[in-house]
Amino acid sequence: MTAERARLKRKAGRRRRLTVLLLLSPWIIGFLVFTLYPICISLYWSFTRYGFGTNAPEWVGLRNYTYLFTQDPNLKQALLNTVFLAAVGLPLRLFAAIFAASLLTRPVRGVGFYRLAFYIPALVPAVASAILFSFLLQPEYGPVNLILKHLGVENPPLWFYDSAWAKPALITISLWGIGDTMLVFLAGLVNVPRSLYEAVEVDGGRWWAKFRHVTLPLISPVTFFVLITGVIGVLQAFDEAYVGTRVAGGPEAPLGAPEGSLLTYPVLQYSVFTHNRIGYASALAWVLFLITMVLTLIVMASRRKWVYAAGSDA
Amino acid sequence: MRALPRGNAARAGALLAVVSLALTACSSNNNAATPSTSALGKDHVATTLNLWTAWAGDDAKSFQKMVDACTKQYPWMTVKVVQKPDGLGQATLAAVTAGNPPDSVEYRDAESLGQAATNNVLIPIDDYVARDGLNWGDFAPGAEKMSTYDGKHYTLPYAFDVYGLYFNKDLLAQAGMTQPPQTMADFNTLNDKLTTKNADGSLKTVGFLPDYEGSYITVYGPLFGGKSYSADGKTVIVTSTDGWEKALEWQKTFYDKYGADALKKFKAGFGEYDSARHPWLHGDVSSVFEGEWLARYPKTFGNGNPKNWGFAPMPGPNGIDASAPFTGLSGNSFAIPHGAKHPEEAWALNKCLATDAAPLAEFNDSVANISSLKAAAALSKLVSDPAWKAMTDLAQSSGAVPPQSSPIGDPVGEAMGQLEEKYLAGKVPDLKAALATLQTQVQAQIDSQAGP
Repeated sequence: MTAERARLKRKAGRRRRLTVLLLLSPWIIGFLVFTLYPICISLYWSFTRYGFGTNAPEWVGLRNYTYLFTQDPNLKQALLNTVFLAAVGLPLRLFAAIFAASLLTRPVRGVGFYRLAFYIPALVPAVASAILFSFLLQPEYGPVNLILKHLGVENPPLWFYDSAWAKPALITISLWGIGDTMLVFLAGLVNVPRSLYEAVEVDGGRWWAKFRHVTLPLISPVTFFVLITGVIGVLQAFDEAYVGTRVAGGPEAPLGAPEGSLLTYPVLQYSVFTHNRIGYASALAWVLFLITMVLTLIVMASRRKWVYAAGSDA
Repeated sequence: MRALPRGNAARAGALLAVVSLALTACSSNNNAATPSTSALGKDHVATTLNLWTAWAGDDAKSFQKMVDACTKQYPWMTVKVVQKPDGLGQATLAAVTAGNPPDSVEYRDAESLGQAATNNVLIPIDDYVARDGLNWGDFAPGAEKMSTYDGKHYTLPYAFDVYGLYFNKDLLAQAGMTQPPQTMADFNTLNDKLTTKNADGSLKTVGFLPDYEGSYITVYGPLFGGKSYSADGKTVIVTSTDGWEKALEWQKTFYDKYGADALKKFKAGFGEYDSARHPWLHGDVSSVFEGEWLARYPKTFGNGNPKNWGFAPMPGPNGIDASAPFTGLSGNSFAIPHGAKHPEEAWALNKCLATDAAPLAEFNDSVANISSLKAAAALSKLVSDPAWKAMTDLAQSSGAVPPQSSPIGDPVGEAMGQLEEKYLAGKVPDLKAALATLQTQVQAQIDSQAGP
């Protein structure tokens, strides 16, 4: 009897597992075919000479990686541009988002409208916002330069037409779309206890002391999250850079035009992919993955030094 | 994280291997077609052919007419035309790799022919050509060059894009000239005369821009005698002549005369390419070096402006060779992808489409293209327009140069565009050294990505 019960129990357990597997199968199949398989095959291709067609991939060992690190004339420029966007654009984006979120925590009339107004640009697709800004930043008849001229700036920037101003133009676009980051900071800020600010006031501290000693430490877990997602995002900067290049240079613009200033790592990778150099493009993709992982690990390792954890003495 | 039990890991690995093999197998389809002993005639087993084209909208209707003329000739043939207006080349690559390509495709990427040949994307058509006695002499000389990579033919061209000088006759007269410039010196003088400045010193009009809409060095280089690759496409020979250097130096003269910053600012004021604010339609620039498609622009976008324009070959460093004037050439062809289910029948269709003069002429007239088949070019009704006649004559020139290509496409063209931009901006102090470096770098790229 006990053996029979155990057998039935096993059968029921098997059926339950099967049902769970069946219900999960659309996701499992999708994951295997559209995520895991491309990841694995791209790793294999990165060690081969391969382009789409009917030739099988040919194993070349580390040749693609050797070429990438020792001979690719575009790699240095692509990395420098990406580092610039990460080192200048990302901090600006974080500060702008914190600043906007701080303003929008104040109990003023219509704060809901302002929050909405700041958030809405984040919903605009990247390509659409790049096209919109290509009009706003048009050097001769775009409204931004018309206003600058009206304010007395004799030679306003040529933005996407000038290698010195193309990356600042990209950063300007990214600042317009801080809504999602701002929303995360807003959630962090409203959770900061008022009593701590009052304690600073009692001690004679003003806004900077409140911001430095209360706000920043208490929202540091949020900043940590935003920093990690921001680093990953900036390493994948593609849409705006790709559109920006075509604003001034047309469809036949050289890679990363003007003068390579918009050649980000993903733009380089896309160019190699579209030229059907799949083996090499796969190597580029894996190196980007490794760079992203290393930077993410560095940020995570720095966590103990600056992220406040409630209940700890940090 | 818990480690996957050994048994599960093995099963997961096996599953991945099966999926990989299944998908990789799709890409190992290497069935080159062998032609039958004789060409297909009016009688044949009923066959449905898939034909992929980038033509869409009204142009697709005209294209269908041309296809219908062929199905009338071959009653056994049913042709299913599939429009791929965006990314025809990528779609073809994906279909060939997956082992399920159409029977026939329109091919528009002459600069990638070497790569398509090396990766076995297209079937060589030499056996069909020889068997059916197709005579390349019936086509303009550029057609065979455009079809050839490393001694084999892959495509049947049916339409050309030709590059030449669009000029404004009124402005030409204003500068005291009665005919378009015949030498580079004439051209430079004309441009200087037609370049004017505003009161604040900024440029008001410019005679000619050597890099309008991105990069043009890939056409100017060959105009000055520049070469990219050896005959097999594997060796980079950029520095074998001084053509690229001279072309870049000539482009730079404009920047030196007018000022890099002034030109940059001037160009930033242009409107959209497909609009009345196109600099040539709007009068900002007196002449432009463009393809035959621009002929439709004065009416379509320019509200009839410029009113009085013409088209002529561009003078090179030695003027214009009257017997073989230069033009850059690109265009449209038909090809048979590897793995096509009916290659023999697809060849019959492609041959009909590219050689049946009357329907081809009608189609090319309707989309304002120039026929590569001499008989079709002669039937064009557009040649009553002197500008169109000049373009058609230029397309027939033996001096027409299609893009060269290597086993990985045209890496010289890509690198040259980047160098052109930096050199014109004054950021390349030693051009000779830069070209030598470019040659070494692109050779390394080909060696690395295409093999020895």
